[in-house]
Amino acid sequence: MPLRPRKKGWSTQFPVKDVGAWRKRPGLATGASRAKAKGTVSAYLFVLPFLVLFGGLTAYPIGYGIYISLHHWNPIVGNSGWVGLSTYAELLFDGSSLFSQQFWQGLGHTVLFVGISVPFLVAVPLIIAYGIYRAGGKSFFRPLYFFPATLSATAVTSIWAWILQTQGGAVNQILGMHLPWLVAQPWAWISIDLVTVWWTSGFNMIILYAGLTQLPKTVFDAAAIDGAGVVSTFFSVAVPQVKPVLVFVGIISTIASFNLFAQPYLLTGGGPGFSTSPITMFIYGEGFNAMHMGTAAAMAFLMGIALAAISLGQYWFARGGGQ
Amino acid sequence: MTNFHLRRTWMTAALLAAGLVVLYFPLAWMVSTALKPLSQAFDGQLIPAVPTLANFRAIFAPGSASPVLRWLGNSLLAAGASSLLVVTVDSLCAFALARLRFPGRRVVFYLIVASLMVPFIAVLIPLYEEFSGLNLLNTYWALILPYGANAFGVFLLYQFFLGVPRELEEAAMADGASRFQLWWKVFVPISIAPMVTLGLITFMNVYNDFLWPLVATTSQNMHTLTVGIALMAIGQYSTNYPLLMALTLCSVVPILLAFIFAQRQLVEGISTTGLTL
Amino acid sequence: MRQPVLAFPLLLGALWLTAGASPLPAARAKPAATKAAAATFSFWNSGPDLSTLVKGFNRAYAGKYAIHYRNIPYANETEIVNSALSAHHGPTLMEESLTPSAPYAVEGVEVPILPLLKMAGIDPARDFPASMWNRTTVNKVHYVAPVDALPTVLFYNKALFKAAGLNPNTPPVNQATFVRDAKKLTVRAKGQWGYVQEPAWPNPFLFPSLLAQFGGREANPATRKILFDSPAGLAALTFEHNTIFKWHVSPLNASNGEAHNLFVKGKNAMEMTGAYDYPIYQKALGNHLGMAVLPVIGHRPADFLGQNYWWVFKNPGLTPAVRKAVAAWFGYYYHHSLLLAKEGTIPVWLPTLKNPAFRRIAGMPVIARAVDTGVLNPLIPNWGTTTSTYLYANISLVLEGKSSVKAGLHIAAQKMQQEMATLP
Repeated sequence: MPLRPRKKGWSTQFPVKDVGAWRKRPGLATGASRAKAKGTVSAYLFVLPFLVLFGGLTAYPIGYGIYISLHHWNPIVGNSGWVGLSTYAELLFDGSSLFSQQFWQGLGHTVLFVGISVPFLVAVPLIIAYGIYRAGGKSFFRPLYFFPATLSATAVTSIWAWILQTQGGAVNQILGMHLPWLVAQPWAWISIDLVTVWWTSGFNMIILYAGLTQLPKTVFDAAAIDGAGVVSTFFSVAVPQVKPVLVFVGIISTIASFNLFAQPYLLTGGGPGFSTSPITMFIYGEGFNAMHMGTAAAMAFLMGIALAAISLGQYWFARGGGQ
Repeated sequence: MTNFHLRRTWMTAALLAAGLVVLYFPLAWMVSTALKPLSQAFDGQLIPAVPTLANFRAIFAPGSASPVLRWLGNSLLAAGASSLLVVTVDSLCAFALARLRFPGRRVVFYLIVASLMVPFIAVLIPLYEEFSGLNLLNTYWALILPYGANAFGVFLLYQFFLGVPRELEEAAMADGASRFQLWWKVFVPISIAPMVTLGLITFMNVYNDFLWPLVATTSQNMHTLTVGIALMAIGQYSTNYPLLMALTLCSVVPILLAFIFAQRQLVEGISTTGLTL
Repeated sequence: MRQPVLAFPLLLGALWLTAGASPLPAARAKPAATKAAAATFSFWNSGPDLSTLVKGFNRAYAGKYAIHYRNIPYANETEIVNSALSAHHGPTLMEESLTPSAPYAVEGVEVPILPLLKMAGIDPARDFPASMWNRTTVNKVHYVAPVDALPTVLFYNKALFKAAGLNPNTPPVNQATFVRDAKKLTVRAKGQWGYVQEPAWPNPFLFPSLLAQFGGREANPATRKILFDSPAGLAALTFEHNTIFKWHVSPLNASNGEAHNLFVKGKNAMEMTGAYDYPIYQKALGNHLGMAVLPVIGHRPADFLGQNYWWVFKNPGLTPAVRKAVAAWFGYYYHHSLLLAKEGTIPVWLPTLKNPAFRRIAGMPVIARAVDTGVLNPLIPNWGTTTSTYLYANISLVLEGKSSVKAGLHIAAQKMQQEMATLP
């Protein structure tokens, strides 16, 4: 599941957008108000199946995870003593602690990856979507460009680890060079970025293409009459007009990139050194290998808070909150 | 002028086609390597000099202890059942959140928002202990239920339901329909597209998931295809690339077939539902 | 519009059929066949697949003992085992590499293994190589017994030796001859290397080998003092560094698996790595494959032993009958080790190692000699698997030229000393 939905980010598409949508709808469920007399019991029955599953399989494990984060917790022997919030404090403020160093180092790498991946995860799909929009043939191009997004992390990384070998890898053979794609910086980050863009661009492209088709045809006609070419229309018309969709794609890509795990775990092993180890890899290592489950859980929740803060910040900026 | 534009269109199409060549090169290389014997794995040729099916024979050999077809069945069952579960449960919940008013709705909503920010890694052990306590590890329950609480799906359908015209609902209520009938006769039929999209996306994810099924299934017969193949591929330390690529190809083919079958629905579904967000 | 009508019954049907009172075999914990057995236990391993041997055991002891066997991936062993243990769902018998056993021993969840070996008629001092049995105690108690060994050896390509005017039957035996031969074998124009030093793998095999050859140790398991930051450690890593930067017999920035790939491709003449690569190299190179004990790069012969060990977890199900079953399995396994050796698993059972039939298996005499001079990782929790990440991360930085040998080892030692304090 960490190798699961986060990669594309749609598992978290809604909350960001929705927080506002919720507030903006004070008159929600007006139609249902008449039915209110029938009692709220039946409404609960609708929600119940989800709540049972959610409570049992999401809320309870999260609560238990928080409980673990407040203890020394060795997975072999379980709870070995209450420590309260001290693990959180150690992670955040104690520079001499190895765990804290890992936390900040990992968080730094994760934020770096968000910085170097999100622009590409927005721009590349937009260019493809715009190309398809202008050239036509959507029922041919769209599924073909989308297909890599259906592959599993294990399949994607097996293939790329093979073709990115320094000597004997297909990419270097074609380039006639010996670039250390997976073993030296900055190549290791470039490879992880490249693989991510290759893997997940199709998904964003579909959404951006749909955004383009929503635009009134007249804006493009007007540009054509002005004699604007494909490229200049792209910058003068397409980009500004689909901005709301771009923002949305940017936010879901940020969330997906923040959860980076499988690509470095399976491609570079987090190296060279620890230079491509994101926060998720440290959490994984501490929790399962070093058996510091409490520390790992605390790192995970701090990561969740950081992600929530960044997503809300982006949302706020996109809404013009920065002005 | 039109000629000029036509040429531009063709140029764009040519560029897009070139992009496809680049995009599909890694997959072509996987197929090519899978058809090579180990001794030629490094020859740098896209077209194998002497194509061989030896790698596939090794995987499907009757003597091989790996029940590849059983794994495929497990994957399809787990992915199919969780998709149906998600679609049903999420639709009911989204309907209530979008169209009914009841105390605690806001609490439910924010709980779901918050849950989406928690990385899965934080809940792996608690979830595992829970399934162990219920004695459900290594059963199909363990491969299906954890995907059932899909908060994302609730949001997707919630957003969709918000946009359903009020008149439809009022007409049904005037006919004396119950709330369940309202959901079943009005909301379900008009939300087929987003529900199918949600189902397909869930299917893809469950099929491709690795860590949870790896930890939750202990017997070989209960592995999913992704897990089973990964286990076959991981030799103790070293790698036989042709065999690994053949294994990877085996794991890709079912999802490719499913994609060919459902691609129109999936692509259109993401287009339409993606914009209602 | 009709799909949702089907959805509900289908869903319920599918769940009921597959997960409830299901007739499908593996859905329930215990298959019927083993119910009849008096004593059953679960056995997980991350080493070579033993399912055929386990089947043979279950047949041989049908109605008496039975094993539930599970092969787990080497790369995910700790998360699988630890989540299982946290839920009290762990195996009775576990096989992994040596150091993952340490945390369980320290936490007191393993049982001493000597009584079980005795029950199987095994005398460790007589039946296991000293290199595999000594120094495998925690608090002076033996909790683990060796299952198989993977010494570090020298692989070389005889065809390339011949082409370079070297005798294909006399591989290098010390540092001077190694460097001399590697230089002759490096042909830049052909993209051919005398040796390929990867910054990452197989250093968990190679570095401890060279360190021991120079007379050093990785750490003291009793005091948890880090010791690789020593003159011996410097000499060992300097040698690796020199192959890339001084003698230029190895490419810079080789990626993971590169030494292996180039060796298979005939573009790498020598590789020092675990014997696990033998079957695949034999397949790829045939008669051109040479294998020898590691050259003495340092002062004395030594090579790191990759290894698998097993141990028994304390759990309520460990009845006297189950103990007998475990002991019976031990005996069965070791007595079949010749059979396994023919499939490439290197035995640690001296009666097999001394068996003439074993000596006739291609490559095995070299491997048996390497087992004798083998060294193990210090028995510190997960050393060599995950604990020493700082060491190998820093070694890789050194070999990429990002850090000096001295600074790299020093930082690694500092971090790991800090890490020692957090281990069980």
